[in-house]
Amino acid sequence: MASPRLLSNLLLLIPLSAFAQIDEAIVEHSSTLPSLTESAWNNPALLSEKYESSLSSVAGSFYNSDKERFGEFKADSYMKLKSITISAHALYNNGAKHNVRFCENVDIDKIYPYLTYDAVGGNLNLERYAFGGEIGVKISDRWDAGGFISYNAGLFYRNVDPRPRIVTGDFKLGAGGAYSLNDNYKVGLYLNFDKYKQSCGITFMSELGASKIYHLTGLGSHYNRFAGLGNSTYYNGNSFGGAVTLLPSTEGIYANVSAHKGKMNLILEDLNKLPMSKIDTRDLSIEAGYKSKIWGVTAFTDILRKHGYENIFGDAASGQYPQIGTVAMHIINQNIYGVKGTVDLPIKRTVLSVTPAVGYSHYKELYRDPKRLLKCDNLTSSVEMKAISVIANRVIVRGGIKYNLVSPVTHDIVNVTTNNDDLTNYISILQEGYETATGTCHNFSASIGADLMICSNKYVIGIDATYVRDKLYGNHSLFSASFKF
Amino acid sequence: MKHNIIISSLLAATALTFTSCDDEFTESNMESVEIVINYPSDIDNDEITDAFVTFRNISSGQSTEFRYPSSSQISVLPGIYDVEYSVSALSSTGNTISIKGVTRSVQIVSSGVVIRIDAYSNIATDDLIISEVFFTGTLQNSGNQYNGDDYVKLYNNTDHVVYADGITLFETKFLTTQKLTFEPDIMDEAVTVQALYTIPGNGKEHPVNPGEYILLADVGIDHRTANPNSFSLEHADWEWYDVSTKPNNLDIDSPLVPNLDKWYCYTQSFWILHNRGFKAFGIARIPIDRETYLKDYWYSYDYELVTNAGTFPMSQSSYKLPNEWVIDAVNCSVESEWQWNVTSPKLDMGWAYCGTIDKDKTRYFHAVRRKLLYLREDGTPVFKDTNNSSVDFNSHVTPSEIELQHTITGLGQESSKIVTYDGITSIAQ
Repeated sequence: MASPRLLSNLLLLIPLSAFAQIDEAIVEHSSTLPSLTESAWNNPALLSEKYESSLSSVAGSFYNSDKERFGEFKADSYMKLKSITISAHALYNNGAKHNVRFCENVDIDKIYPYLTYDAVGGNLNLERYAFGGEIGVKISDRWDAGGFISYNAGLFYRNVDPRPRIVTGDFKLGAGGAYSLNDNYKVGLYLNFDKYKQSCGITFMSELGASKIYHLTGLGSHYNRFAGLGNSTYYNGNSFGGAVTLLPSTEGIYANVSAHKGKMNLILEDLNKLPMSKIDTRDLSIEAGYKSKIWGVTAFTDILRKHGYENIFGDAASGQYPQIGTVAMHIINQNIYGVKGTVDLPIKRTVLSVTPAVGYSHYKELYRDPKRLLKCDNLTSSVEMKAISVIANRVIVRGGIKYNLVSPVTHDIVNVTTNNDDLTNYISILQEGYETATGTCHNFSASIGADLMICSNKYVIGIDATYVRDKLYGNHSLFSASFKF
Repeated sequence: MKHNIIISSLLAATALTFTSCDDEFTESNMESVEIVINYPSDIDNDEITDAFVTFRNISSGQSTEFRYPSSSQISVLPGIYDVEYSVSALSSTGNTISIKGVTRSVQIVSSGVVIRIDAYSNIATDDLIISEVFFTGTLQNSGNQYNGDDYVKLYNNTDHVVYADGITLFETKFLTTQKLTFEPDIMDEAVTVQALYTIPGNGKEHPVNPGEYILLADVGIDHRTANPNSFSLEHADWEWYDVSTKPNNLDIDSPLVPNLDKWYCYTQSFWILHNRGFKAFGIARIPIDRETYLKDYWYSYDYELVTNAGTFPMSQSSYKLPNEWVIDAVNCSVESEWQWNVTSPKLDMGWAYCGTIDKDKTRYFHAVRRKLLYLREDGTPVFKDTNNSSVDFNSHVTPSEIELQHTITGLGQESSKIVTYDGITSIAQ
C-alpha cells in the first residue's frame, strides 16, 4: 500500500526532498513576515527566499458563507532541494453559489462592468479546479532563475430557468530572474502573462416564457440595443506585466514595483460573435519598507485604472452588425494607500504575531451618458494577533483574531436609477452595496487550530476552524482537516 | 539606515504623485452635427418657433432633446441615432398643425455629419383608423399556439359617418426585424405589401357611425369550441378567407361571417397575421379596380443578402401600394429585434409591440391598442392619431375581445375582469 506521502507526491507530480523538523516548518510557514513581502513571491526566482523549510499538506475543508457553500480538497507543497525550490498546488471544490440575485457571471472583478443580467437569478452549482507549479533554480553564485505555470477552471450551472452554463479558464505563465547584489540583497525581475476566458450560455426550457437577458454596462446602465439578444456570451481577455523587486535575505529595505496592463472583450456569440464591449485595465503597485528577522514594516500603494469601451454598430444586414466605432463610457479609479507592520515575538515554544495596518482607499466609478457616479473613500485600520505554540513536542496549537474598522470619509452616488422594472433588482443591489460600503463597518475574524504529530513526528494531522464576520463581503466560516509532512 | 529611509520616501512620493488625479471623461470626442429640415410646401418657415430635435441613441436607448435651430452647435456622442423633429406651426391656410419628421439609423462617428429630415404635416385622418391589432393569438392548454383567432379592429374616430366599403386591409412584405437595402427604393412613394383583403360594397353599403368599430377576423367562429382559452369571433363583421391549395392546411370559412374580397395574398394556404408582429399592418382605399391594380402595381426589387458565407445578390417581387392611398398603418416589432420601419415615416414614425424579445411567449393573449385621447359628450372615445405608433398605441395589453368576453388573459391566468377603452383606461372609470 502506498504511503500518504507517496500518494500526495503523485498528485502533485513533484519529487520528495529532505525534510526539516516538521514542527519548525509549520511554525515557520505560519509566520506573518513572508506575507509582508507577498509581492516578492510572484517572482519564481525569489522562491527560495520565502521559507527555510519544506512543508507539504493535503487538506479537506468545508466552506460556508452567505454567498457560497462548498467542500474542497486541496494539496500544497513547498520543497527546498539543493539548488532548486519547488512549489505546487492542486485544488478541487464542489458546491453551490447562493443568493445569485441578478448576475449570470462569475469572476466579477475581472469582467465588471460588462455583466449578463436577468431579473430571476437563483442558486448556481459550482465546481472549481486549480493546479499549478513554480520552480526556482540557483544557476550560479549570483544568479537565480525561475518559472511558474498555473491553470484555474470553473464550471457553474443551474438546472432551473434561467439555465446558465458558465465555464471559466484562467491560464497563467511567468518567468523571472534574480541577481545577488551582495550576501544580503537580491534584485529580481519577472514577467507574467495571463489568459482568461469565461463563456456563458443561458437557456430556457419553460413553456410559459423566458426572462429577458440584459447586458449591463455599469452603474445601472445596460446596452439597450442588444437587450433580449445574445444569450450566449463569452469574455476573452489577457494581461501582461512584471515587477522589479529588491529583497533582503535577512534584514534591510524591501521594495517592489509592479505594473500590469490587460484587456477583456465581451463577445455576444449568437450575434455572429459581435464584440459588444471591452475593458482596458492598468494597475501599478509600489511597496517599500524594512524587514528584519522578526519584524517588518511596509508602505504600499495600489493604483487601478479601468476603462470600459462600448462598441457601436450600424444596421444589421442578415444578422451581422458592422462595427462603426468605439466610445469610452465607463471609468473606474481605485487608489489604495497603506502602511502595514508585523512582528513575530518568540516566547519559549510560542510565537506571538501582531500585525497592525492602516490605509486609505479611494474608489470612483463613472458612467458617461447619462452621467452616473459612485464614489466612496474610506479609512481602514486593522490589527491582527496570532499565536502558535508547540506543546510537549507532540501538539501544535494556534489561534488568531483580527479586527478591522472601515470608516467612510467621503462618498457620493448620482443617478444610479432605472425606469425599467426588470432592472430594479439590479439597482437595489447597487444601492444596498453603496449603503454598506459608505457606513462604518466593524469586521472581525477568529481562527483556531491544532496539529498532532504522529509517526515519530514525521507527519502531522490537524484541524482548523475560521469564522469571519464581514459586513461588506459577507460572513463565512471554514472548517478543515489536514495532513502535513 | 538613513539611505534606506530616503529610498523608501522616494518610492512613496512617486506613488502619491502618480495617483494624485483620477481619470475623467473629456468632451473632445463629442461629434458636432448639422440638421437640415425639409418642410412641407404649405408651411412658412418663418412661422416656425420652438422646434425640437430629439436624438435617440439606439445603443443606449437614451434620448437627448435640442432646441432647433440651436443657439449653439449640436454635439452628441459617437453612435447610431434615430433623429426626430417635431414642431407646431402655422400653415398657409392659417391653421396650427403639427409637423413631424424622423430619420432613422443615422451613423455619427465623426463631426460634420449633415442630417436631413423630411418633415410631414400631421393632419388628422378623416377616415377609419386601426384601433387594435391582435396578431399574437392564444395558446392551447398544451402550451401550443392556436391559430385563427387573430383580428384587426377599425374605428370611426371622426365626428361623421364613414363608409367602410372598399377599405383594404394589408400586411407588408418586409419585416421590421430585417433591414434591407433594396433597389429601387420606393418607400417614400409606396408600401410593399404581400396581403390585400378588401371590404366589399358599392361605396354606401356599410356605414360606420362615429364611435363605432368594425371587426375584421381571421376566422369568424366561436374559437372556444376548439380552444377553451380563446374567444368567439362569430360577431365579426368580416373575415379573411383563403382557398388553400395545401390539403393539410385548409382555411375555415365561417357561414356566419361574410368574407372580405381577397385581392392578393402571397401564401398558397391561408393567411394569418404575423404572430410575432414583425410586419406593418394597414388599411387603404385603393381608387382603382382589382384587375387594374394587380396588373399595374407589381413591383420587383433587388437587394443583397449578407451571410457568413458571403454576399449574394437577390431579387424578389411583390405588390406596391402608393402611400397616398394608405389611410392608416401601424408598424409592429419587438425591442430586441427591431431594425427599421417598413413604411414611410409619413405613414408611421414609430412602432408598437407585444413581448420584448423574439419568440417571447408572454406575447400571446396580448394586442396593440390605440390610446384613448378623450371622451366626447356622448361618451364615445376619441383615440390618439399622430402617425406615430410608438406614442399612439398601448403595446402589450389585453385584447378588447378577451375583455369583452371575460376569457383568460394568459395560460394559467384568471379571466379578464375589466373592460377598457384602450387596454389601460377602464370604461367603468
